[in-house]
Amino acid sequence: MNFSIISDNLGIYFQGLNNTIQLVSISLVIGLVIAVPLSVIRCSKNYFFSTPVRAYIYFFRGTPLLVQMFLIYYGLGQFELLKSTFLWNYLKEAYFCALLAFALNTAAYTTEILRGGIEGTPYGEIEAAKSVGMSRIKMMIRIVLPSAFRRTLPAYSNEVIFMLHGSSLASVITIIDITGAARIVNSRYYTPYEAFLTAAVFYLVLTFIIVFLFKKLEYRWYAHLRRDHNV
Amino acid sequence: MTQQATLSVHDLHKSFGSLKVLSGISVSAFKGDVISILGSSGSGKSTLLRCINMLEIPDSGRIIVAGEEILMKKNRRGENVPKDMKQVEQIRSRLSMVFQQFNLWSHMTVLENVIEAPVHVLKVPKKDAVERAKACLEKVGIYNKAKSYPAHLSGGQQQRAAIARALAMEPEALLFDEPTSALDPELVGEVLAVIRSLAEEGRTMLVVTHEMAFARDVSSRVIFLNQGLIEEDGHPDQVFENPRSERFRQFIAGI
Repeated sequence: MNFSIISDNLGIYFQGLNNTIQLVSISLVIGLVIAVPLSVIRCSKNYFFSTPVRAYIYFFRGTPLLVQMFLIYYGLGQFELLKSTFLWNYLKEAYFCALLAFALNTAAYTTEILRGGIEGTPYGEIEAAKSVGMSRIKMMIRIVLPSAFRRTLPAYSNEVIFMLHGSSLASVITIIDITGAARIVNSRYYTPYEAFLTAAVFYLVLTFIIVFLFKKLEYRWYAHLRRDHNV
Repeated sequence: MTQQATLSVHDLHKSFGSLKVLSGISVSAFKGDVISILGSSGSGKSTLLRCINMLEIPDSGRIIVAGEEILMKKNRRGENVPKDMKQVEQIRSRLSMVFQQFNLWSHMTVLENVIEAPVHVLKVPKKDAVERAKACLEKVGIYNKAKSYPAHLSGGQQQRAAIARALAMEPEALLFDEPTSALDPELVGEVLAVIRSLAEEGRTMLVVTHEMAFARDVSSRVIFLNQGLIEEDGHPDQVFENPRSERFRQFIAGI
């Protein structure tokens, strides 16, 4: 173990950490924003609406994240027509392509997680909402989604952690995330053990923070289930 | 001039598949009426109540709430459906329902449960809704539980919270769907006492119940349903003392 290699290159690791945090947090936020309406549509009894969402989910869950990223980063460049539009300014950037792939991927998984939460809403609570005269939209916003978010929190924390680890794929398309930093250090010194162990420690710490934050959130949101909650 | 009924139902029919549950029910409730709806399991009493606020869609028949008829139409498959969901929602907000299983919103405190619909459906300012909610919770005797979550209350307390939630809508009529059937025998009394006090305030109520003593003492009218039809209808003294229907005689003898 050569610690000086690690300490001399901490700068590049922190640059990688910065990129990882940015990529993961932005794609998670976008993914969640997309997933909430999609999950509502996914639960629609009208196949005209729910089928496209099903197809989207099926594609993104049915193919590896790496393949999705390659399709966006390498694949889209094949279309000359696309290259002549303003979109190409974004799609030629590795960073944007990784972000797009991650956001679409996590949106698909999150939609399916939320669907489970929505469908698990106790039917009596829905009837109570109907019986006081709530419209369908109001019922979704006030009763079903808040209840679904709570129910899906543990499953969603899993998705966040998977996304963090999945983001290491960004290093394959030239992005210097934590794994990218490790690859640079490895290629410079040919010390894979030091290089990747350092990356592993970074991921462990990030995971620890995510788990801690979810625990906090569960404590707040699960007040209605806690035994010690007496007022 | 005849008084306008708070609630009236004309020739209501409802089937689930091939099973006929309601075969032509007509009933009117006037202001201050407390109508107990009795009947054995499967006689259609809950379905009748649920049809009134369109939790079940009747196959045919008319429902009129304070002079306003719920407009119906036929859909493409020829089924009876509400013509305008907005109207249904508006009418539902004027009829409060209390369920057998309480159906409180589990992620909200008791107070939040009670102010939810007044604030978000009736658009009452939050401050006024909280005042109203406090009064309702006082009335049902669980003001001290306002900040508790439903899961931390006994069944009787939950049902009283659900009654407070119903009262906070200041409805024209209250619909009770077997409000004490899911409770321990010990807790039935506290809920019945609340319902009784509401009856004494002159509220219009339809109560589907198995509590014969309650039906007899509190209600101004008793209806007995059998196989989707009204078999007895009258003042409790008359109905219980002198039943016309053989089936009702068996029914009360069996309890």
